[in-house]
Amino acid sequence: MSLTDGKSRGTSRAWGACPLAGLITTLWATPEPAQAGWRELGFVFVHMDSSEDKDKDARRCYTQIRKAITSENSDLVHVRLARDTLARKLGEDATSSWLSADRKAFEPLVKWEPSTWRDGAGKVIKGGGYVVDAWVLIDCQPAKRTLDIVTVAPATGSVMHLHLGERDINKNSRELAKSFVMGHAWADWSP
Amino acid sequence: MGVEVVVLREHELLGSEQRGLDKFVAGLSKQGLAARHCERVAPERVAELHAWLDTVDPKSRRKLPSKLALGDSAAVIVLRMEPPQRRVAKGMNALAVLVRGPKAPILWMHLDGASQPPLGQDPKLIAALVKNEKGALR
Repeated sequence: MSLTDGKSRGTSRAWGACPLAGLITTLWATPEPAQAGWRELGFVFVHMDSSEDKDKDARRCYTQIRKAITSENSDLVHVRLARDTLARKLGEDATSSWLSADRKAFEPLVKWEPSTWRDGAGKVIKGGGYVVDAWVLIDCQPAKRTLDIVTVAPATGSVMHLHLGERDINKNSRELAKSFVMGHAWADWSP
Repeated sequence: MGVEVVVLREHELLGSEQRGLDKFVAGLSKQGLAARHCERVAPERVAELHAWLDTVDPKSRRKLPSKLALGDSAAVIVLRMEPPQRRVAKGMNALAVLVRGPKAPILWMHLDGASQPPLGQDPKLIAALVKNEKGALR
């Protein structure tokens, strides 16, 4: 979101010759002014698959939740990490007991700054200086009818545990989960 | 189907909190659930509901008693509010949806160190979950 973009500025010599017309073009071509302090929301997703044989439905469900969060929010960048990578940061004990782990166990996640991100379409963005607003750890098991999510918000060091069970994991439950994840990610949010 | 909405709190509800609660209960009723805000709750039941909200370990949660927590209702939606700061609502820090049958809540959320808008979720999504609509938004 910039005040002007390079393509719209000075593309026509005829317009460029007239300062007033140039100004009008600039004002007209600007879809939305940048706001002070605006920035993207940064998420880190980890698939915490607990199925023994890497269940395809579990992977699909995780992907559906991740995409529901990222593709519907154009102002969001994200990173996808493997469970093993998380285990290296947290330690194996905290990773295996993630569903009952407390805030202290997740402290190692608070200061991590990724160097490579993805946009909503999944395209890789190198650098960018984005900030992690929420870690989202997901284990979705449609066969067991359970969905577990833990989110960690580095800005507050806060942790949310979410569980859905005894019900089919369908679009309804995924939408519910998404609303809780976004509710936590936005809690006390400040640009 | 009778659904009780119980709000655990240590403060008088602010006007904005009360309006949000009324809107949520009305939203559930609109979805075909006979929902009501249960304002007076026996201390023993309050203790049981707190235990449901505070037990983070899923295995321990399955061992908790639910007789008092559910009462006579088909389902109970319990949430715990953070006390307001300088008359500004701080939101909820825990929520559970218990239904008759399963040993554990069908929906359970616990926040440590933050809060989020109370019942900011769409009542339609909660109602579909309570009613166990298999084809809901599939």
